[in-house]
Amino acid sequence: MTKKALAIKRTVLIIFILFIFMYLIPYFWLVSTSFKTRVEAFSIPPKLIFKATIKNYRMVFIEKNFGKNLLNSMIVAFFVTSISLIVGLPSAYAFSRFRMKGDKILFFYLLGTRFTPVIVLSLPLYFIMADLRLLNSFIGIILAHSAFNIAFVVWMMKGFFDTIPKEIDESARVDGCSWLGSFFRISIPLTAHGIAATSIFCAINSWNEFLMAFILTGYKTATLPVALPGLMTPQGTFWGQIAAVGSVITIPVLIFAFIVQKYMVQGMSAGAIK
Amino acid sequence: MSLKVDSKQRTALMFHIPAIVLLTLITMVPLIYNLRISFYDFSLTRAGSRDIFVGLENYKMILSDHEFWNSMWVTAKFVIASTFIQLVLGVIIALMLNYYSGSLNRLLTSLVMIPMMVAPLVVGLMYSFILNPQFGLYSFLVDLFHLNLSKTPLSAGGSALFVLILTDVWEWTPFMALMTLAALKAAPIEPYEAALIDGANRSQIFFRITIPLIRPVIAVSIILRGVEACKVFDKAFILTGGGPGNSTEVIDLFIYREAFVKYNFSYAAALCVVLFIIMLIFGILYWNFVIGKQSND
Amino acid sequence: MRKVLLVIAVFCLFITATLLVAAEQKYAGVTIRVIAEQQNPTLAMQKQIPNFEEITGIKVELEMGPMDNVVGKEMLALESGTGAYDIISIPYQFLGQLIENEYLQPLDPFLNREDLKLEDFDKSDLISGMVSASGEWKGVSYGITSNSCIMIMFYRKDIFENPEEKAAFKAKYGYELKVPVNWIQYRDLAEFFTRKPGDNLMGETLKQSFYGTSIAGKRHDAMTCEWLNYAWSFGGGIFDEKGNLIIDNPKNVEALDYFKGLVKFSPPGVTNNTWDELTTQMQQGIVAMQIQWNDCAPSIEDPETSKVVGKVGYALIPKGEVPVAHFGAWTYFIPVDAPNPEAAWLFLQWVNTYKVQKAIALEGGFPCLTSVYNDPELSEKLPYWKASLDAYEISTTRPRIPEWNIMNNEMMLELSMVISGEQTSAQALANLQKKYNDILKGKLPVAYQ
Repeated sequence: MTKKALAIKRTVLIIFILFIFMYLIPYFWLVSTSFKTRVEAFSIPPKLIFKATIKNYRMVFIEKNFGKNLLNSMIVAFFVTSISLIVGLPSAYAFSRFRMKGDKILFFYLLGTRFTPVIVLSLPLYFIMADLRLLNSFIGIILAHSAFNIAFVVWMMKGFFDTIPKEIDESARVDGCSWLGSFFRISIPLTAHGIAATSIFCAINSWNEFLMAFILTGYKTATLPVALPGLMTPQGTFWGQIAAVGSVITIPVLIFAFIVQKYMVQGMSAGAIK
Repeated sequence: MSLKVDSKQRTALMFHIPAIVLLTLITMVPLIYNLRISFYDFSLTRAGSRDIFVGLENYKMILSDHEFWNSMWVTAKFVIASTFIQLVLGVIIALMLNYYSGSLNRLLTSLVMIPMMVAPLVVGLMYSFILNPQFGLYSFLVDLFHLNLSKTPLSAGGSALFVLILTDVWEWTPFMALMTLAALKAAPIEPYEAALIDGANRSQIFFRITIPLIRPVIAVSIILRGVEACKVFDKAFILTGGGPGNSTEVIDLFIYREAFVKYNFSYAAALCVVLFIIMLIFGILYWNFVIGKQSND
Repeated sequence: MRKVLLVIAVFCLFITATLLVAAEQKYAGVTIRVIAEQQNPTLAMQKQIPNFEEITGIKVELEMGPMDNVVGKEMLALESGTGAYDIISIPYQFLGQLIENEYLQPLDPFLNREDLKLEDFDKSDLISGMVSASGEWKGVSYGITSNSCIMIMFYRKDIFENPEEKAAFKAKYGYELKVPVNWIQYRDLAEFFTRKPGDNLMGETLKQSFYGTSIAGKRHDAMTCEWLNYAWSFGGGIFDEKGNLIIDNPKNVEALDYFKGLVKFSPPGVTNNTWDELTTQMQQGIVAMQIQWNDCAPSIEDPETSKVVGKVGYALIPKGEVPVAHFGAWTYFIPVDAPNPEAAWLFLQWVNTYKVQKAIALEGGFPCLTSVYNDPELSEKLPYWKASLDAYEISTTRPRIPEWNIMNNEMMLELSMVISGEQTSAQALANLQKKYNDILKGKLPVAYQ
């Protein structure tokens, strides 16, 4: 590469990095506000350098009991991921290995769940759960989130299962292994990294979700996003604490997302591209 | 021979059953329930209204509901503007990312990924904090650079919608960028080499080769984002609440309000059915034009 | 002889004591479910609950949440009749709707039951005006006030008392600067105190803008609550004395124009303001006056979050044609399907005992007991106490008819469009007149509210 080309490349890089940095400022601002005292958070000009405090975290997670909501988010995410996997993995395997009558219909149906606006399902689920007395329990929200995640699991894992050559299955079958056995003892271990990535996506989807959780959970089972608007009270908004909760909602997701970065595109396009 | 096929079919079915059961319970049953109550007059404010049958009355009301049409219009404006801006910005970012390789590329990509992973509700919250007229960053910058801009964009209809679009763009442009980047990386190298040999310049390469190659992915991204843009509830809820007036009342916010603020459950159910049908049409179009095309390629 | 009498006396006392204790402990082991708004008074009440559990042995499961959430849950529970709650706390304007749907149990049967009397509860101590506004419908009592509040005026008394400001005001407007008692004075003061950075305030140069007032302009209950004060005060309102619809009355138009006129003296972004933003603005010290709920006052006096502790004065809302103070309350009701209505009644009594009400008052709530009201400790400690008392005397209630919720929603929409400049006051009120006529078809004039 010529010197000129290299110089251009470097300049563009600097501009690009600056652009990304400015793009991310809103987020950095949120996180930094969570460590500021109220006085400093509201000061003009906004302070870049300040004395960090964890008071907001302590106030909101301990005194206002948001720790309970954090636990709820974790419980829901855990069970949603588990159920999505238990239900989705066999289906993904079947799509990969078999040609069933009605394959297309099922596939289209799964696509449909991705296209369905959340409110369209939340409203009737609200009633059904109320009638079943399950309204403020964990069961409602876990099942609802799981259903939305199945499509996702199926598509992602189908791709992974497809990468395992069919010959391996054949030889296992020849050795007397059933399909179920082959599924458990061969395909699953071989796609472990894919399963891990898929689980993380499932957990993230559930963790970040607001509307369905807002409608289906109650006082005791509210997840973090649902409890968040509660900090905007008629007696004042606790911005530092809101920022603290916002940070806690986002930071685990970022860490995990970074880990599965490799599979990000696969995850996002799940099912959309055959 | 046919016995073997049958048993394979049975096995396949068994593998699919848990998924089918859960999906039916959580999606099919509610949709049917929605349809059913849309034919009644159920409102929480009137006891016993659960059982008053009114047929297509709710649907007729939707057609003549001025606020519904406003909401559809707002949603349409939002989806089109948001998707378009994300597309342009996303492609540019993807091209920039593609320019660099190795660990630099990975670092930049992970930074670019951040907005996408922030919970939509938190994105809304973030922007409402920045736009606070008293102590927000935006207000400070307007003063600092003596910009001729309103310090309270959320107070006026047009600019409030623009802010909503902006938050959506901020959050989802990385999605477009990463999808495009993947397509760019997967693009075969032969056409480029051939073009260089033929003496094509940069812009010719871009428009005649790059774009057609990534077009399928772009199409997919557009439709995906378009559909998901209708799910902007979280941000609209926390940032504008539909206001000022009803200038940012996107359709899912409108339905939410009908159901959970006005308690007109049957009307809301009818709205859900209508919305679902619209999405279904999208889905069918998508299936025919995109997936259909892909399997033909 | 005397000894025998003594023994008999002691025996009787013993029996009575046992009976009394028995009354309270009758439902020991039962759990009641209560739902209320997540607010300071509720939190204060929550702290007292162990005391209730001790006295009666009844366990209390308290559920809280933000207003919309809680009301939604309550409506659903009532409609489906599943006995989800023993006690609900719901804003009083829902009363008509709840009665019409036969969701509530009247309280008189409970009041008459000697065997359910809680020791410290004194019915005559309840402020009858407040309780009947919150819980009585056509002479039948259904509920007791849970959290009440009333709208008053907050003002920066430190600024009002500043001699420089006083002199400047007199020079400009020709009369003494004092706490405004009518709308003309309110407007003059709002105009006078709206200053840009670089201007002077109390002798100091301002670094940021200062504003005369701030209004709630978001499409939200906060706005209609605030505006109703102006409407009533200007001689308007929704219904006249006979129950006819008068929402498009010229006095209402005048009130709405006046309300809109205050936008220019308010911090930018009024269309985002609900009680929350108004409180924050006052706490930040950038506003001179506000029409606000008195239950936001404790936050203004909270040194942790407010910059103006001790600098704010509290007074009645300026008088137009009539003095007004918008009364707000949540009321405790016992649903028809409550699983444990007697235990619920014990709870209702307990909440309205002197001890509990005073504890709630000290944490920012407002009692419905005369004795607590007149408690000197409270009027000494709490700067907003006297103004609240005065305001409760002239309190004005909003309609409690079944259609009010929908009417309120329509008002929120039309009014917010006036504030954002999309339509004129006359247009908005004409729209409301039409919409209300449709909603109330066949029910006009509204005889009872």
